[in-house]
Amino acid sequence: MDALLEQFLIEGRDQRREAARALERLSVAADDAHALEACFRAVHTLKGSTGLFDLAPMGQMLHVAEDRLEAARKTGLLQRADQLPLLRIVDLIEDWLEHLAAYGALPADAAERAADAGSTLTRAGRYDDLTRPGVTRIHYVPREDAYFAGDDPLAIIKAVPHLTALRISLRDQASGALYDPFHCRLVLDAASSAPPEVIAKALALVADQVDLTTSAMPEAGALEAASLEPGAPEARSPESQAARTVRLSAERLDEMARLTEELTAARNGLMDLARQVEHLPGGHDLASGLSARLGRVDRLSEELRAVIGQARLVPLSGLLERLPRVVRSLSQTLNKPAALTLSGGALELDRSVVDGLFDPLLHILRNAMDHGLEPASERAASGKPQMGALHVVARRQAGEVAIDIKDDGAGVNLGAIRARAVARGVLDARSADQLDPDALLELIFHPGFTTARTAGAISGRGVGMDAVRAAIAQLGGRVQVRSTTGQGTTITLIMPASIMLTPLALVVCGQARYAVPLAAVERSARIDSGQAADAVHLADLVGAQRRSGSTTLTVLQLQRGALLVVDGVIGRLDAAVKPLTGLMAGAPGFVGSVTTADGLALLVLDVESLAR
Amino acid sequence: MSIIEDGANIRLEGLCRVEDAEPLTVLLQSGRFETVDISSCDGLHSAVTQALLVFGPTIIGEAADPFVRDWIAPALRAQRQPDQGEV
Repeated sequence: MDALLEQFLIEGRDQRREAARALERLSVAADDAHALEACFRAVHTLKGSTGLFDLAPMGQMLHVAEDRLEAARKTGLLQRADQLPLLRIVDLIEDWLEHLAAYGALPADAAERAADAGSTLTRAGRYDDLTRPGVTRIHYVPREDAYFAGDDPLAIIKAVPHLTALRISLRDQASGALYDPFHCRLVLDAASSAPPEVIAKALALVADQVDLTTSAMPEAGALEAASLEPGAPEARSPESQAARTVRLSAERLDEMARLTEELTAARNGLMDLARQVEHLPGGHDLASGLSARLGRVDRLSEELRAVIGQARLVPLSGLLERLPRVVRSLSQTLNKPAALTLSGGALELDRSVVDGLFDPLLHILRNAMDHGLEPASERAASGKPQMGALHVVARRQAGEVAIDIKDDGAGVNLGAIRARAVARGVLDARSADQLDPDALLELIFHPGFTTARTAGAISGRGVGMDAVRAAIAQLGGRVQVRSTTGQGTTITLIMPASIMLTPLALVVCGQARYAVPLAAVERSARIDSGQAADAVHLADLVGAQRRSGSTTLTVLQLQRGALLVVDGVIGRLDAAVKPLTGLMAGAPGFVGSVTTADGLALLVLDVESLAR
Repeated sequence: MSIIEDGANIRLEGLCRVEDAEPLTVLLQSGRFETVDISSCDGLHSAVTQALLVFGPTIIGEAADPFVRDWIAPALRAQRQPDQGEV
């Protein structure tokens, strides 16, 4: 990639992040002068940089945003109505920067989307704009005795999904002493981008008082999420440490980690040579000297490993900052108002772990929005605020990092879980009756518990909590759940504070799969069975049958030339290797276990001992 | 809900129901109040909204309830104070 563009992408992502953070702060305090200034500066700088490239739509959209922010700076307040359109612009910029990184250009529909986002912002705050193309216009003249009849016309309009405009006026101007407060004089003109039949359904009870007109335009573009409040900003990392830092791409850091692993493997080879020297006539002194220097190499490579491990730590903020957007979009789709608060973003975890947490978090948030939070009307009926509260809180917990995802929804229905577990054949009715609440809650992690399931994929609904647990286990963590009926559910992800994912080769032998640390493998090959006289057969080591009748064998050539015969090499996995516990602790030939994307625990071969 | 008199300001607190329209109307009819503060308001019945629209006090504050904050308050301000920004 062009170096100039590469630099633009690096800085553009930073500026976008800065703008998003500032907007989140402004959603809490619309008059936060520092946030307003930071947001303006980020947008202004980014806009300036777009001029160097063929990015006109991005530049135009940012120009509109900059104008609006400039106006807000003058009044010292960012209008509430401007916040969502600005957040959407910032979200769009995020998508476009990634598209630019992948394809070197903006998406084909960029000009159109820029115009749409820009005009939404221009129109934001014009709550009486009923003329937007593609919406259904609602003209509602409530009966004059509506209040006596128990109707609240505004509450009826509130139930219409995807409102884009609302104008409230009076059918006549009578006021003063003759004014009768219980005589309904309102005329409500609204617009919604929901399908006309959905609007008609929401207004069914007052159908005789409502006129609906839909303008013919293909693009509906539902944009205003009337009741969505973006979350509070999470804990902040130090704003600027620019002076003594350099940028380093994640790939380069990964490469350094890989080289460190190889260094360790190369060191093992030297150790073997030292042992051979020991057996040479008069080689004892030389071997001692070699061992002493190898000891130093050992310490240095351990230090190097630790330093690289530290360098790979990234704050959780980058991950958490992606969540408000998810909640905004879900809130709109599900028509459930929700406020998300984030905290603990300054805590750090290994980059690969932070990357790997997004899908599980997304899935848990989806569950919380879809199944946890009740519809606004139900919440109101049970005395809860209509807006659901979601909290994502990262905190230190005894040397680990715990991430709580809390909702204040209905809580898990244990009765329903019991019934479903029996219906799905997970348990028989008698055992199900004997389970205590904690054990019942554990059932949501059972593989047979959910209807739809795609191994390894967490996106999409219907994929179970078992996939979440497997993904977290693969990252070396574990999942807990607590739930109180009527008060909500908390899912806690507990992650090791420092971790290095080990690259592994997945091999199959007999009916079972095993993992082999890639650092110990030189290459895999198919060889003639005649050439494998000295090879170690994995089948012998794990007590399986050697595969018979084949003239060629799949072998892994290990460091120092040893050959390991397996039935097949089926893939690669980066995962946290956990020490063996319980019955398996100390099992010879294995160094630990890993969890695969489909939730299976695989044993990791101790190649050193096998090769001996 | 509570309708609280505070100098030339009326403060609306909590959920404003249909029955609150009458006492609010009496206050607004007195002509002693210029502003109505909705920052502690958790919901506005149409009858209360109508009284605010008819007597046109300046609406100040940002309501806690999102529907009031994002839709009703801007609509009231748009009808009564087309040239003023949000306060």
